[in-house]
Parts: sequence; C-alpha cells; structure tokens
Amino acid sequence: MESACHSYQMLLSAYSDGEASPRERAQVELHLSSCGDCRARVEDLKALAATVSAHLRAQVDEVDFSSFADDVLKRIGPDEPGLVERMRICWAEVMAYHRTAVISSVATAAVTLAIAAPLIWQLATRSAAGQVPQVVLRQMQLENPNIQPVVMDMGDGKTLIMFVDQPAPGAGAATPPVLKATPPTGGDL
Amino acid sequence: MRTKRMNVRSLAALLGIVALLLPAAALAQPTRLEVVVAAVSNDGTQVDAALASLAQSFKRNGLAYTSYKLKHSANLSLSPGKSASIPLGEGEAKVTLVKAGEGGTVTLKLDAPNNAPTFDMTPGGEFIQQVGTIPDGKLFLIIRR
Amino acid sequence: MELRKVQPDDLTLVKRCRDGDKEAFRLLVERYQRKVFAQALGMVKDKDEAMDIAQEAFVKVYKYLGHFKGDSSFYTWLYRIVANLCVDRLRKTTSRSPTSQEYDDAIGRDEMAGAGILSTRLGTNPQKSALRGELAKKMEEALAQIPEKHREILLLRELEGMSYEDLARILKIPKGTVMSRLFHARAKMQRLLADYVGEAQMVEGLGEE
Repeated sequence: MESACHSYQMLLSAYSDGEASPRERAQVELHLSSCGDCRARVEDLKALAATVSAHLRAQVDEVDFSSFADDVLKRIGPDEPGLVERMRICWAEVMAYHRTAVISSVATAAVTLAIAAPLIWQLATRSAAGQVPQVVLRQMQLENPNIQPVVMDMGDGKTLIMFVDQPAPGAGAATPPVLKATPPTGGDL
Repeated sequence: MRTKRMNVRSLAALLGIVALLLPAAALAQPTRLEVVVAAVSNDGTQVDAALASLAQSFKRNGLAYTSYKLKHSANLSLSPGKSASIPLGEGEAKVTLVKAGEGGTVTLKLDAPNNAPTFDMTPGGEFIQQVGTIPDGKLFLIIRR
Repeated sequence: MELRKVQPDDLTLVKRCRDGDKEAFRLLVERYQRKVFAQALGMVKDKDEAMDIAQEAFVKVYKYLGHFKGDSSFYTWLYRIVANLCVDRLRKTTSRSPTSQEYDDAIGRDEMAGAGILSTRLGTNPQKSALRGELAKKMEEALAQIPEKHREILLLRELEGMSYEDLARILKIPKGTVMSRLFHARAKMQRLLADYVGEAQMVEGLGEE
C-alpha cells in the first residue's frame, strides 16, 4: 500500500459513513481523485456496511415479536397499587431537585462556551492554516453547477483548487460542495 | 540639541516621502508571474524536472499521482488591467491582473474553462487549479510569483 | 379529512407509564423491542438468551422508571440497562479474559486492503437471498470472532444507522474513538471475510495486532 494511502485508511471509513468533517472530506476527495485503489476501498467499505447491515437485519427479522410485549407484561405481573404512586412522587422529587441542577449547569456551560468558543475557533483556524496565507480566494464562478470545488491550503503558500466532476465514488455524489463559492473575506483556505 | 531635533524631523519627512512613493513604485512596475501547465496522471512514472517540487507537494498532500509532464511554461509581466492568455492544449485560459495593492499583494483573476476565480496573492504565493481532465489524470495550471 | 396519527415521543410515553398507563408502556416496548433484541444478540450471540435478556430489560425499565432522570434520552438509558444485563450474563456463563476488551483502540496495524474485492464480490446492495447459506454463516462467524466492543459498535452503526455523535454519547467514548473503533472493527471483518471472497491477496501487507 502506498504510504499516502496508508494515512487515509481510517478517514476513508468515516468518509464512507458521511461522518468526515468538511476539511477531512476535502482531503479525502482530493486523494480519491488521484487514487483508484482508495476509490475501490471506499466501495469495499460500503459493500461491507451493506452486507453487515442486511445480515443483522435478516437475523432480527427471523424473530417473531408478536407476543413480545405480552410476555414482558406477564413477567411484570399485576400492578401493586402503591408502587406507581410511590414512583411518581419519587420522580417528582428527583425532577424538582434535578431541574435546578440541570438549569444551572446548562447556564454555566453556555457562559463557558460563549467565552471559549471564539478562542477555540481562533486556535483551530490558526493551527489549520499554519501560517499567513499567501493566496486568499475572493470569489469563484463555477461554469458547471455539477462540479464540486475542493479547495486546499497545501502549505508553503500554495492553494489548490480541484474539481470533483466525475460521478464521485459513493458518498461524494451526495455531499454538498466543500466550500461556498464566496468565502468570508480574509478567510484562509 | 537643536540639530538633533532637526535630524529627527528630516528623517520623518524622508520616511513620509518614501512611504508615499512606495505604492507608486509598486504600481509603476509590472508584476512578474510564472505560469505552468502540467499534465498530472497515473499513466507512467515520468516526472519532469521542472515539476519535481509540484510532485512532492502533491504527494505530501495525499495526491497519489505518479506522472508529472510539463505542457507549457511562460514568464508573464502584467500591469494592472492587462491580461495574458495561456494555451491549455484544447482551449486556453486567461489571467488578468486586476490590481496591485499594498504590501505587494496583487489581485488576479483567472478565466479557465471550468471556473473563474479571483484571488489575492502575495510574493511567494502559488495558485494551482485543475483546468481539465486527461486520461487517468488531470491538467493543472500553476500561477506563481 | 383524516388527521395524521402522530406517535407520542418517548418522554410522553414515559410520563404516561409513570401514571400507570400500561398501554403507553406497551408502545414503548414495541418501539424498542427489535433494537433491544439486536443489541443483546450482538453481545451474547445466542438467540434464546438474547430474547430472555430483551424481556428482562423491559421488566427492569418498568420497575425502575422512577430512576430515569430524563436528562439523557430514554434509549440511552435503555441501552445501558441492556448492556449491563448482557455483561452480567456473560460473566456468569463464561470466564472471559478481561483483556479481550481493551487491546486495540490505539491505531494499530489494522488496514483495509484488497481494494475493490469485497465490493466486486458482494455488491453494494446485497439481496437477502444472497445472505443465506455460506455468506450468512461466514458473516456470523466473523461477527463472533471480533471483540465484543467492535461487534457492539458495528451493530449500532449498521443496524441502527446511528451517527458518530450518538455513538459517542451512548458508548460514552470520544468521537475520535468512535471513528477508530469502527475502522478497526471493519478492518477485522474484512480480513475475516477475505476467505469467503477467496482472495489471498487481501491479507497482503497486514500485520498481526
């Protein structure tokens, strides 16, 4: 296996699940555009997922659930009158206690997030760019609405735009464009 | 004491003049650009010497192409508002220097068959765009300063 | 004009159960019986036992509804009940080696290999008929051989179609671990299915963990 491919293996799995981040997806699509082996690997992952899923479904389908709920209720037995009521009171107490706890912790989290989020965002964008970008894309006009641009900051002041125009292998077909046609001014790509 | 202050003043004035002249100088000088058209594919393993660094940079970024062939290369010298065309085998692309801004940043517009991006570039920057598809690979246009 | 019947959500049903509404409880059971059974089956591998655990889980739900705090989803809570029951059951029946659970979350030597072989042989839309016979047997064997946590995550992902975020929440692991665990689970499955698709080259370059 090519060493370039090696580093993509785990991402391919997330990519085939449609769970790669936009940046990861751009990277994967860029790699896939150049690598037939990894395109085939994505197909393998999909075949495996579909097969495992069909197998598990078939196993569950074989089971007759028509009397399941009745059996459960039989196992529970007749109601003890006091129990439900007792549980209700217990629950009310728990809610009364937890509601304040939940509200206060949510509030704290919101405040923390409000302070932390911009910082984290800054850090994330800075570390992603690595350095001051030497090429900043202002605008794109795509001639063909069916093609998807993949814009990459390649480091060393290089910016690459590629197009995924062939029916992308699998997930690519349904994925939205990685980058909007007009990125925010000064945004690094 | 007085001469010292005079010196400081004249230095400040000189700096002011230089600061005023700099953008003018930048505007007066046309911007030099290098354009390269490369056919990059998995057909063979030939890597043209002029494209060795491109090949390395592609590889580092997870692109698994094996063949890098030089199709065209030229040095351009553009003044604001001027364009130059670049042959792409079939068809051509056009690069326009929209404006030369402060700090050596220029705004360029590329008219390629599939996409017309406008972008800012500082000295040392490199802009690469896929401008076509070839068997088992892609055609790239590279613009460098 | 016919009004569309809206299914009450879990929390509404839970509330009604607490008020002693057995029909609400029945609805909850019917909503989750397949999921619960599949989860148990994934863990204990025996259908009868899985069925028993599934029923017991709902009995526990009924009994302990008062303990359900409502700060997580009902399914998350139910999932943990089933998981605990399975673990208890497995502890009783077999003496499993405690290390079998935790050995491979680090990026190990698992790789996907044999590009294109599985998809060519299996297709991306396997008909159920194709899953009878040899492949179904092979699949069952393969699922039985991978570590429990891999089986668990595959099941939740492929059967329930759970998102990585939901998986992280329900399994109480970071999202990055979800990604690596699924990857390792699939790599193992691919390797185990390599025999079936009959390609020796699938194991090429694969190290042992």
